[in-house]
Amino acid sequence: MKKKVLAALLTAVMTFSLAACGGGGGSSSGGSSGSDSDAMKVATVMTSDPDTLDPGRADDEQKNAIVLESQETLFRLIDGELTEAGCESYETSDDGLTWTFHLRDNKYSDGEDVKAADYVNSIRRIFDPEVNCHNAGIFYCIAGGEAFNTGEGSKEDVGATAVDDKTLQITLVEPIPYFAQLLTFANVTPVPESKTEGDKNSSYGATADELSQCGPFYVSEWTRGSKVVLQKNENYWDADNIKIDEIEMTLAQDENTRQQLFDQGQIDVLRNIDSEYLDQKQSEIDAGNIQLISGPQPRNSYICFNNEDPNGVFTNEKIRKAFAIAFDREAYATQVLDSNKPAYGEIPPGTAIGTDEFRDLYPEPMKELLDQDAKQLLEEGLEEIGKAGETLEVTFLQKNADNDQKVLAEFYQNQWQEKLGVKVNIETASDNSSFNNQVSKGLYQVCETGWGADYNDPMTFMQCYTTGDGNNPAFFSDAEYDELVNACKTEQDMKVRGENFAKAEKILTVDKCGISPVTYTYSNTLVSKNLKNVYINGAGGPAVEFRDAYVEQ
Amino acid sequence: MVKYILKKIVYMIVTLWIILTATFFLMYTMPGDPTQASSKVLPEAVQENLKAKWGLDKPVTEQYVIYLKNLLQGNMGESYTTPGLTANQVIGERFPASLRLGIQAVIVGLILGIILGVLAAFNRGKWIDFITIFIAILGVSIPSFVFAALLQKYVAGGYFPIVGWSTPGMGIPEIFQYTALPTLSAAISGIATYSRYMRSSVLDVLGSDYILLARSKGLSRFQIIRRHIMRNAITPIISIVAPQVASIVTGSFVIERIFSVPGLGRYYVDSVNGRDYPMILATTLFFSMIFIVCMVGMDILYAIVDPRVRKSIIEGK
Repeated sequence: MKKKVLAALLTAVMTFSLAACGGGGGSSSGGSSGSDSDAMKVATVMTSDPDTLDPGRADDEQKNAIVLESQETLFRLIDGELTEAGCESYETSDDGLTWTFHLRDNKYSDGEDVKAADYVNSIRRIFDPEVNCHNAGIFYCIAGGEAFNTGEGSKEDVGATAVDDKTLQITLVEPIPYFAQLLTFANVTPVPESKTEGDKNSSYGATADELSQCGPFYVSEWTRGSKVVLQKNENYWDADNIKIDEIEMTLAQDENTRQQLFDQGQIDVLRNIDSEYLDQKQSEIDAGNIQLISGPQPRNSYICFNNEDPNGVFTNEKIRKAFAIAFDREAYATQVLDSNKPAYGEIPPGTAIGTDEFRDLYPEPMKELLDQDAKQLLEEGLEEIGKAGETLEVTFLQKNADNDQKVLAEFYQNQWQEKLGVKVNIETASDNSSFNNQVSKGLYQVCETGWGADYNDPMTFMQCYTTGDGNNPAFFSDAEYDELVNACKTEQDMKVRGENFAKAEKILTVDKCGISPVTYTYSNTLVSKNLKNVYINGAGGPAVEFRDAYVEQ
Repeated sequence: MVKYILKKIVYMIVTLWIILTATFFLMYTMPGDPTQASSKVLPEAVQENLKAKWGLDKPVTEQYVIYLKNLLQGNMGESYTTPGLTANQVIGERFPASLRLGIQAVIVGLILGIILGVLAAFNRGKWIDFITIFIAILGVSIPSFVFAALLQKYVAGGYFPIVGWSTPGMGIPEIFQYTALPTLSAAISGIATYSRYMRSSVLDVLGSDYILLARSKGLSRFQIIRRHIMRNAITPIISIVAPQVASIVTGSFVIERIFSVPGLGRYYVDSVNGRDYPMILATTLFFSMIFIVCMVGMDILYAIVDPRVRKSIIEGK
């Protein structure tokens, strides 16, 4: 009888070892996923599970990656260039307040015509309190938007009208010079009003079959928690030039899992890889088996001092400066963080002012500040707040309990304790939501946070630190700064704007040192050997644009 | 016996109510609210509007009463992040995957664990015993997510997919293909635990007099194992299986994340991070229910397997 039991065990062992062998053989094979049939297929990953595909709610990178491929924006970023897409041409009135768009003959994947009224519906929905679009604040430049959003106005008063089926008119409150940039947002893509009536207004986009889609692709399959499949949209106005037939986006929330998928050739694109993985892949990149696309992302991270510090420490300019100086950005960017670059200014490379790159024209302002003597500044500051000679004790608020945040917080602690002789305590927020809550209420002393561009203009960074802005975690307030930045909202001359921004940036990071930038984000994207013409976008547009991509056979 | 079961069910409802109440109030003391879960700060007026829409502007006690009322009518609410998606829908869509993963893991764990445990006990001090101890130590000390990542790295990619889960309409081979690795990852700690328990309880039984009697009666070894040893040795396993079933069904969110299994555990974690209150409550309630049902099931099973327990229940009424 012993034999019988032993046989059962052996069978079990064999099953597992067989499984192991089968897998072992498979893992050494590789190759692109697109080559098995005539259809041109591309595979990529989703890093989070989209909660909805309503364009009105597309407010994070993942949702944008899907919605911006399945919807047509008025403008599209083609290889970084702002290009007419949903509109064929447009004109602006002399005062810059009225924008008139002549729409292209475009159709939804179900064959319906795209009408100007559909754009009007979407623009109204941005501000509709029921829809809860997180980008609404960015569009307050559209007349009547703020009032409708805050519950004081009605949707009819929002400054968007359909002159006829193919002409859309948008009225602005002020002639913001970067308005065209905002029209690359997924939120301003057409949705017929019939789809969003009644209860559907808030629940539109919960399933794939109810979507109206007029982009180069359409969502043909969406299994929550698993994957999204995009197919080429034959009704798209430029369908003749779309070469990819299918994009499969598999959900993989774990970084390790994503690397496995890429290693085994099951996905063609992997974004934001860490430096360790890059090292692993370097030989394959050098051999030309994988393409590496790297470049700056318009995103920064900075030391956020609470300028209204309840403990009365970081209210002092000199103390803020001392802490800003006593921090080795070089070591931090290269040793603690992956593939980022040290920052000596607020506006990251990759941000455009008009047609130029901002950082090419205006040098980073912070280098001279960092040459000053931190210890002396700290002593002077302590004297000013009446704590001369005391050992200063401050608390650094850590973003969440993740290990990488812990490493980062300890680096800050170490730097300041060593270079300034102060005592730094670390307080850990339980998760991002509670961190945001604590910071927005000003219940912290100092922390690290960052900002990523919403659109490609320095304004997206600079507006945050104007007095009373909702995204001003530092509670920075300076009259001259406000004046300079607010002037840029209406100023049309890019040279004047650039100078204003440069001056304001110096006030923010050097003169007043309200916040102190530490890094700019650089991102490395791996692309499989045969996939060509993929655009990587920073601000606006899908992070990876497949519209013009093709697989080389 | 019926009375016993009824009593258990009443206890169960009371426990659920306590869990619900505790979760409800704890959730509101958690810093941050649904309007602050995104990295973008919404204008204050907009935050207020949203709170009014979701009823969060009312006092917490009033919200609690409203929630209980709705719950009694079977309405567990709608997601904040995905309007139109009800808690019932989410559980209906997501739970089958978690359930399949959990049940498969427990079955694999039980079968392998018991076989290993019995073999080890009969071959005490021999190589198979050492292998069992070795597996048990590995299984207990290696966290399941490490094991999952290792399986994913070295086994997946060929026959077994790296991510994904079976979908309705798939045949047995395909289901096996998709579920084998996540199941094995979730089962590993079970295999370890069961085999150790089984080994020691079989050893216990082997030393008792009635086995000696059975042997002297001339029963075959197989009959002794089946009739006398297994029945007695398996009771301690039952007492640990129930909590294990509950914890694997409800708690394999790390494995769900690694293998992208569209399960409820992962959704639960996401909803906590998003402060999606109705979803947090619904999933907590649902998971507690599963847990309690498993425990009650264990009690009943215990009574069936062990005549001594049955007797005490009947006498105890």
